[in-house]
Amino acid sequence: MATIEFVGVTKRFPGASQAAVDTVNLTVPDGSLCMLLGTSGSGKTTLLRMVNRLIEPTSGEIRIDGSPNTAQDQIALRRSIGYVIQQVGLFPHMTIAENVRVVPSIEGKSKQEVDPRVDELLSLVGLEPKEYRNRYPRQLSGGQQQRVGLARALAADPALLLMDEPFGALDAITRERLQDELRRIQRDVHKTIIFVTHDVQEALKLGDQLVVMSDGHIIQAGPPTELLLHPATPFVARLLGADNVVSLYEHVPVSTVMEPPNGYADGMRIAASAPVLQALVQLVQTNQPALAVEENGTVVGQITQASIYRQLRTPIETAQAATAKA
Amino acid sequence: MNLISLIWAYINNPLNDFGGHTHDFLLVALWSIGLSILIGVPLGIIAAQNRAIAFVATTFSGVGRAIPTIAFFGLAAAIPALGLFDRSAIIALTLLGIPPILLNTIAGLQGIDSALVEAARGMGMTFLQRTVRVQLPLVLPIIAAGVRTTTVQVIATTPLITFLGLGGYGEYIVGGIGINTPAGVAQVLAGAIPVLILAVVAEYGLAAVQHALTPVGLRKQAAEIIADSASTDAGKGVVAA
Amino acid sequence: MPPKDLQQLLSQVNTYLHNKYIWDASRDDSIPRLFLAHMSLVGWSLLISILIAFPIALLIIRFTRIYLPAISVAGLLYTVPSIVMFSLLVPITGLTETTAIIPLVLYSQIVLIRNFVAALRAVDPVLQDVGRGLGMSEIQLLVRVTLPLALPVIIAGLRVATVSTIALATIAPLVSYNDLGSLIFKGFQPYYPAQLVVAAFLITAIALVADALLLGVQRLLSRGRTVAVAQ
Repeated sequence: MATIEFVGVTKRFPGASQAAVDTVNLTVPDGSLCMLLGTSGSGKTTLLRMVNRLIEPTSGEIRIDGSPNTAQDQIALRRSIGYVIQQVGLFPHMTIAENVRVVPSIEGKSKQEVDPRVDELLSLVGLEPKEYRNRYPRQLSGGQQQRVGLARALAADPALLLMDEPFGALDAITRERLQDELRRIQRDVHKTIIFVTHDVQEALKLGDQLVVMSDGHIIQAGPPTELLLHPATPFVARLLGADNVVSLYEHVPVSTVMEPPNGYADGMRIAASAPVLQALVQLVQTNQPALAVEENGTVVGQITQASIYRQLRTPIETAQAATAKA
Repeated sequence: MNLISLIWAYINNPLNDFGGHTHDFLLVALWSIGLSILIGVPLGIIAAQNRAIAFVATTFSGVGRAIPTIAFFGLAAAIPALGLFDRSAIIALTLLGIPPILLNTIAGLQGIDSALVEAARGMGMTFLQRTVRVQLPLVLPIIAAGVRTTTVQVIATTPLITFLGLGGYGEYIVGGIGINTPAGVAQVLAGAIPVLILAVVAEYGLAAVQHALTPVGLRKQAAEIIADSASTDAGKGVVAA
Repeated sequence: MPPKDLQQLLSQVNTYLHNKYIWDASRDDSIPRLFLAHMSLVGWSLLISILIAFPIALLIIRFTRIYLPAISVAGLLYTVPSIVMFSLLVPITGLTETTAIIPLVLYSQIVLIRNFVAALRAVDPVLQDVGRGLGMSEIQLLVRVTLPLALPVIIAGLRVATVSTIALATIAPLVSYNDLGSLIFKGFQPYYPAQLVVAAFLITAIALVADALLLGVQRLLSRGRTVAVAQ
C-alpha cells in the first residue's frame, strides 16, 4: 500500500535563479506505475529524489499514504523505499547475493533468514539463483547488473519503488526486454513505482500515468492515451509524437476507438488493451470488415478501419495544427 | 663458502655489535613507517574531501619525488635546533614515507564510484554503514599498497642514517665499501644482505597483505599487483636513493 | 656550527654561495664541474636504459606472454635498495663509472618498459592496418606510424625516469663517482648545513627543470592529437 501525494513541492537550489521543481502537485495512486518524462534539467530527477529525501524540498510536502515523508527519520524512510539508479551502483566487493540482501542485512536480519528471499528475488528478475548467487558484479553484463539492482531494491519488500532512468545505459534490445519484465514484475508484486525517464517510447509503453515535466513544472499528467489524444500544449504534442499517425496507432489501445458491439461477436477477436496498430494489421491481413473487441473473455465492442480513422482523425489534426503553429 | 663464513664471523664478532645495529636500524625505520601511516592516512582522508588541500598535497608529493633521499637527511639535519640526531633521521624518513600513503588514500577515496555512495544513501545506509560496508573495503587495499611502497622505501633509505652519525646496517656498508679485500666485502655484505632481505620481505609480504585485504570481487592475480604497483609508484626510484 | 634559527641558516647559505672556489671551473669539486658530471651520468644511464627497455617493449608487444615475467624481474630489481645494489657491484666492477651507471639503468627499466608498452598499445590498430594496407614494411610502420603516435606517451614515461635518475645519481659518490651528490655526502662530515641545503635545492631544481622541459616536449608532440597521454 502506498499512495504518494506531492503537495506544492518546490525545490530551489542555492545560487540557482530558477526553481528546479516549482510548486508540483501530483497524486500517484497505490499500485500504479507513474512515469516522469522530461528533458534533462526538467526537474524530474530532483522530484524523484525528494521522495526518499536524498534532496529536501524548499517548501511543500510529500505524503506517503497520507503521512508526510518527514514523519520518520531519513534512514528508516529510505529503507522502506526501493531505489534503482541508472549506474546501478552494485557494490563490487560483494557477491550478487550479498548485494541483494544488503538492506535486510543492515537491518540486522540473518543470512539464513534472508537467503530464501534472495533466491526468490533473483528468480523474479530472471536470474537463475544457483548460477548467479555467488558471482561478482563485474562478471555480469550491464543488463544482468540492472536486474540485480532491481532485485536489491525489492529485497526489503518496499511498497514504493523509485527508479531513476534505470534502463538508460542499456542497449535497445536489453532495454526492451527489461521493460517487459518490469511490467510483469509490477503485475506480480503490485508495487507503486515512480519512474524517471527521458525516453518517450519507454514512458508511453510502461506508464499507467504519464507526467510530462519542463522547467520544474508539470505540463500535463494523465494516462498515456489521454495525453496522446488530448495533448495540453504543443510541447506535449511534439514530445509524445501526438501529431504522428504511426506513434498514435502504436500507443493508443483498441478500447479508445471501438464502437458498441454490433454483430461481429463471432468473428476475429482482439484484446481491448491491444494497440490500434495491431488491430489495423489484423484487419488488413485477414481482410475482415471488423474485429470483435474482448475484455476478460466477453465481447465489449467492435472495431473497423472506419472507426479507427473517425476516432483518431480529430486528435491528429488538432495536434498537427498545434505543432505547426508552434 | 669462504665469503659466507667471513660474513658469519663478522656478524658474530661482538665488537661489531650486530644486535645493536639491527636495533638502531629497526627503531628508526619502524618509527618512520608508523608516523607516515599516522599522518598520511588522516591527511589523505581530509584531502580527499577538499580540492584545494588535495592539490597542495599532490603537488608537494610530486616535488618530493624530485628531491634526492639523501637530501632529505641533509635538509632535516639543517633544520635549526634539530641537527644531527635520530630525530632528524626520523623526520626525514617520515617526510619521505608520507607521500605514497597520502596519495593512495586520496586516490582510493576519490576513486570510489559516486554511484555506489548514491546507491548506499538511497537504500538507507547510515554514515557509519556507508563507511564500514562500502568505502572501507574498497579503500583499504589501496591504502595498503601505499603502505607497502612506503615501507620498502623507508627500509631502502634507512641505511643512509649512518651519514647522520647514527648506526644501523649502513655503517657496515659505508665503512666497508671500496676496501678491496675479502674482509671488506664481507663487511659490506653483512650490512647489505639484511637490508635486502628486509626490503624484499616487506615488498612481497605486504603484497600478500594487500591481496588478502582486497575483496574477492575485485581481486587480480598477485603478479598483476606487483606489476601494477611498480608503475603507479613510479616515484619510488627517486626515493630508493 | 648548527644554525640557531632560519635567519642564521640563510646567512650561512649566503656566505657559502660567495665562496669563489665553488664556482671555479678549473677545480674538480666546483659546482659547474659536479653539475656536468651529474648530467653526464644521468645522460648515459638514460640512453642505455632506453636502448635496453625499448627492444624489450617491442618484444612484449609481439609476445604478450613475456610481459609478466619481464615486469616481475624488473620489479624485483627495483625492490633492491640502491645502497645495496651499489655496494654489491663494487667487488665486481670496482669503484668506476660503470658501477655508478648500472644501478641507474636497472632501476629505470620497470618505469620505461611499462610506459613504452602502454604507449605502443595505445596506438590505434586501425592506423597500423592502414599503414600495412599502404604497403609499409614492419620497420616503416614502426618509424612512420607507431612511433610518432606513441611518442607523447613515451616522453611521459621518460619524464618519470629522468626525474628518478637525477635524484638517484645523488648517491653515486658512494662508489667514488663525484657528482652533485658529493656536496651532500661531504656536508655531513664535517657538518656543513649550508652546503647540504644548497646541494639539495640544486639537485631538486635540476630535476624539476628537466621534468618541465620534457613536459614541454610532450605537450608540443601531442598537440592536436587524440592519443591519451598517460601519467
